[in-house]
Amino acid sequence: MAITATATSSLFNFNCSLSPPPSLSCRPILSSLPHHHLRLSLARKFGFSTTLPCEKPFISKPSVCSSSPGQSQPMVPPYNILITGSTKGIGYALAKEFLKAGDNVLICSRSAERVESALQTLRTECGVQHVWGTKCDVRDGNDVKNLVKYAQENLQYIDIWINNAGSNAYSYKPLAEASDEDLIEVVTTNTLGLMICCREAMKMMLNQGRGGHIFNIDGAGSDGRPTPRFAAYGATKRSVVHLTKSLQAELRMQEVSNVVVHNLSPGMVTTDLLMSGANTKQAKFFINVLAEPADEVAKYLVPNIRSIPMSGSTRPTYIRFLTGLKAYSQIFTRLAFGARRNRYLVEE
Amino acid sequence: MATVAKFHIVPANFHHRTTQSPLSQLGFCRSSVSWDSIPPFPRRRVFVQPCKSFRTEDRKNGSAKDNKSTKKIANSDKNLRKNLLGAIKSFIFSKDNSVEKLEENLSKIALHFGRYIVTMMSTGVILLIGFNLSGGDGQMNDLIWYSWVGGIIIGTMIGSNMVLDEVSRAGPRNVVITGSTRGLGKALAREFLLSGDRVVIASRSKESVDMTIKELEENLQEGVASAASSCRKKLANAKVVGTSCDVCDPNDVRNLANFAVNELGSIDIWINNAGTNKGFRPLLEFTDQDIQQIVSTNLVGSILCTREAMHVMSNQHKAGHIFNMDGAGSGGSSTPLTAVYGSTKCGLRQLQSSLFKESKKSKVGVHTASPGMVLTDLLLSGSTIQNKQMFNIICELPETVARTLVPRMRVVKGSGKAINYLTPPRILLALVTAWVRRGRWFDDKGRALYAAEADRLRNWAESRTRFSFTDAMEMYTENTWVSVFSLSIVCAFIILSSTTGNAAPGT
Repeated sequence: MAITATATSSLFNFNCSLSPPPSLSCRPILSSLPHHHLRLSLARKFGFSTTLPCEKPFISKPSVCSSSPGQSQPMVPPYNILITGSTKGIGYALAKEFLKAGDNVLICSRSAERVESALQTLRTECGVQHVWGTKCDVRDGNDVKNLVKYAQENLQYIDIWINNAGSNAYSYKPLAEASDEDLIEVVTTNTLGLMICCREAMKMMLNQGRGGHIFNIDGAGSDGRPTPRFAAYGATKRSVVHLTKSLQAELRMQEVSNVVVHNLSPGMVTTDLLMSGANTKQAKFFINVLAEPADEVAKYLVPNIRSIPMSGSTRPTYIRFLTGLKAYSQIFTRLAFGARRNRYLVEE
Repeated sequence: MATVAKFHIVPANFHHRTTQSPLSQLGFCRSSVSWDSIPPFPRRRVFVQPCKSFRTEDRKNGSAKDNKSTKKIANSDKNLRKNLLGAIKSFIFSKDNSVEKLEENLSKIALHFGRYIVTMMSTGVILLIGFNLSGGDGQMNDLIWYSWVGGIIIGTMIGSNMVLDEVSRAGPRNVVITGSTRGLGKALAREFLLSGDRVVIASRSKESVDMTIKELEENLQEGVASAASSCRKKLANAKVVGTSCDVCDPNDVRNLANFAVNELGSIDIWINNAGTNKGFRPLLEFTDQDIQQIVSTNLVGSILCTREAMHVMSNQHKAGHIFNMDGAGSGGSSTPLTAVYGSTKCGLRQLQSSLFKESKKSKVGVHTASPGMVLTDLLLSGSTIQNKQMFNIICELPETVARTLVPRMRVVKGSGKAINYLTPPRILLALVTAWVRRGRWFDDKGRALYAAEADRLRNWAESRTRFSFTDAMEMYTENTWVSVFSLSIVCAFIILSSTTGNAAPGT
């Protein structure tokens, strides 16, 4: 029974936001962070974070920062969008949706063949002049630097950078049974890759007058709920949210306002990453009840993402597809009326 | 395939040791076990003493709080002494030695008696306050008496449980600590060693491992030389070995686990201490190598080590405990300037909670240990004068932290425990005494005022025995507070009810 319970809660985690923690609830992330946490962290954590308020003199403004042209160059559609890991799954769906909205999209992935085939399908659907693609392994700093170079050559600037590349090695098992390669792949792709991408994206956007928006995609475990059977994946996704938070605080300390780091939560999406774990009864139940196809999710997320530069907002946000209310109401309709039964997978 | 091969190795290693495990649980027959690792004792009579020292030592730590358990201990002490006298006769002890033992026992009884009195006085004070507040109301007085008795009973149960538990779990632990050639890891290794445990240290560089082993062995020699006779027997089992291990390399980690099993037989405690930070600066200024090293040491390393430790521990008879070290960011608050370090530590906390669920039914316990802020290279590299002024207030030397963490790590049970150095009383103390602590470690210019490690250790041996207020508050009063707490609740209740009671007729 314990296993069923854990599976239930773990799958629940895919929606990342059943009860959004107050500090993350969209609006006041930045304004509330350092002081809000000062006493608490003094009390329990260790004071790196607590030292911050007095550290200000130490932080030099980044030399590359040029905020004044930012006002002169407001972001207007069509936007230039870069999505990592975008040859399949949610990344691909997002790319397609942005293209439909008329934006220019740069896709990339580890495998050159997959990039090529994705480019071809996207080009036939949306026109040659709007989509670019290159091979990029996010774990490799040089690859990411080349990606930035490629973007600057072809698109001059990037308005929205979506860090979507993520992996769970497509295996769901207890940590004790996980293989070396899987663990290292998960951590390096999700954490190391994300950090390098964030750094390069920030570097690039601080150099371009119009600034930019960076979106980090979260996942199961980012809200702190345990994720048994994919402990390593959960740990990396939790670190994604934490990294976003820290970067927001760093940018604020540097008084940069035109580069913003956001979180993006697609909820449960019926991609390979999720479906590879659909081998228990509870997993199937929650996938049927809560998961949505990537296209559906992208249709919701893309207008929300585009509305941020459109409104000129520089506030960090946490865009969620599957909110707590939605999740609970879907579970309720399932339990009450049997809705969405056997939607994607046949339950016994 | 490698893991399959290992599965064959591990049980094989344990089979020839199985005889030891049930015996050691009896606690009294340790002497009959022939550990491979223990150097042969020079004289036969030594054999009786270790068991006694374990028992008495543990009872000392056990801190029974009240009449019943004190009596219990007095009884068992009597029994013990009877047994010992028999043993002494049979082994033909010299007379002065037994008198020495007797004195030791008596002093321990006196200690427990003293603790009992202190407890009773502290509960008595609350009791008196309660009576004063109740103002002679019979019902209230009854309530106070009941809650007092209830607190005493609960305290007794907890206390005796702790004592029994500690006695049954006495004996040396086998400990593996990664990243233990400097900083906190080294201090932890030293502390375990001086508690009589067998320690495996590991670090990336072979030379520093060898150097650390040599140094720790010297510390151990000094410890043996300066310790009282009972402690000396306890230290007889202590030893330190080490191997080089890069925690990001799965093969290295596997080798470390095999090395530990070969050297010690089993692993009781595995501490994932290896961690790195690379200074305080914005993410933009970190190089690829920096980020890669931090992520692979902190996150990949801990995951791989945890998995390997779980393999070993699930294949051995005894339960095992894995500790992951917390750091800034573990709690989820943002860590600008150490974004990479913070998010790896935050991820580790998530790993811990997932593993806690995964390993619920196994005998492997996964825990976190949080050292708070420690004056090590990790913290000091790249810190400013302002930071150092802050460190004065809340920072501690690694030895101080290790001294607090190690006893708790040794007796941890179950799973999912958090062992913290910076507990609320400590923080309170630090904040209250902030003014006094201004120039504790660094002066206005940020120069270090504290002694180098070698000098510190020289002073350390002396201060080990010194009374520490916070330590005492932590270790001893855990049970006392139960009864004090229940009484305080009643007092609060009385205060509330009496104020409302007064207000009601007034209006």
